Amino acid sequence: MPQIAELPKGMRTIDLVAYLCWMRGQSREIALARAEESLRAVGLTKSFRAKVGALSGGMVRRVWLAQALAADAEVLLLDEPSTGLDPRQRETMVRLIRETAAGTTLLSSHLLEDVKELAERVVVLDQGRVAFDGPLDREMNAEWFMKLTGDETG
Amino acid sequence: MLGQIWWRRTWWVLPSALLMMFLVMRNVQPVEGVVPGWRVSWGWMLGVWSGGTLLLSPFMAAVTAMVMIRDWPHGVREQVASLPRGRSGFVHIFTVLYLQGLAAMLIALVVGVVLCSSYGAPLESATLPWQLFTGPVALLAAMLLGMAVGVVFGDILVVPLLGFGIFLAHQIFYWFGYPELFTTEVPSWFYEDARPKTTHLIATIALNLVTGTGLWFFLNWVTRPQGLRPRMLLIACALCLGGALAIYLPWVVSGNMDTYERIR
Repeated sequence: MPQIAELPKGMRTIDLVAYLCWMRGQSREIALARAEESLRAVGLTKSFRAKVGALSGGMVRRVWLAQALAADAEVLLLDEPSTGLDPRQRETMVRLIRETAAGTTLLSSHLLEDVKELAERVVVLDQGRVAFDGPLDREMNAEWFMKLTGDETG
Repeated sequence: MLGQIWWRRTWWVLPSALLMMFLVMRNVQPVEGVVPGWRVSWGWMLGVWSGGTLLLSPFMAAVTAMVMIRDWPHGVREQVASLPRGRSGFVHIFTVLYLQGLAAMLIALVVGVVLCSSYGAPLESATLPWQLFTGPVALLAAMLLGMAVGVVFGDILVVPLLGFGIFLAHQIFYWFGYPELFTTEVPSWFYEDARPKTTHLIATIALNLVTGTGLWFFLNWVTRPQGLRPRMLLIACALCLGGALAIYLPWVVSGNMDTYERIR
């Protein structure tokens, strides 16, 4: 699931998710079935036939999540899944990821809230090197993070 | 295969393409006071029919570029480029659009055949089978150009510029009598004792085929993920464009502007 990417605005939601699933090598029938299933899972049942351009920012992020889920991959890579979403949309996205993502999920985020709500193991990267690698700890907060990476703003 | 998505997205192209064809085919002088005059000569009818590319090619090239920019944008192409069927989008879009352009040409051809047959036009004025191929091949090359422009430039502003550019380019080839590229000549009158030159028609077909192949190699190269683009495809593209120049230049050097040959 990419952080930000254009989408074909004129395409129907179900077509887009099925098409991307088919491009991953699935048959037409399986691609359509998985598209329906994954759109249902992210709560877009009523938007199957809606054009992507008519969806809100939060719904578009859910379409991206749906296409990632439809791939039925062993590893799910989510790049900043809640970027640009308002608090309510972010909450929905976090809940959906928690409910729907099966297997290993690699989440990349700058939001500690996302990390604390979703991660089991945390890796902090600072200028390309691993600054922390360990289980999620309740003490992880902004202060902890600043101490770990250095407060560059002084 | 989910290519039918693109049929749904572009259903309006076929009627628009038909309109382009008929705008050109009806814009011909009358014979014996009756329009269209080309009904009296198979060669003239086929010339005007393939000359439908005067409007059809710029239109279809612009549509191809527009569909690429609007409906299969760079961000999506980049995301799917490494998937097993990630580049099928290009094939689906091109096939769906080209088949619609070709269908418009075929429908116009059927009308032309019916009118020439009912008039009893003499068949000797036609240069067959070559006159049947110039238009469809020019359309193919123009649309490949449209796809290349749509892939390289993400700005919708290139769409009208491309269409207008191809339309203007027609004048250069037409007025100087060179084998034509992307569009073909619209004969405004007919010669009773002459027909289009076989060599000129073959050169036109070859020029478009070679140019189209070069553009296909370029598209094959540019649509792959960065770092996985074989240089050989670019070399093949350059060779094809060089080939197109090799077909074109002898006409320029010889100054041979006559595109018709005598029947008798």
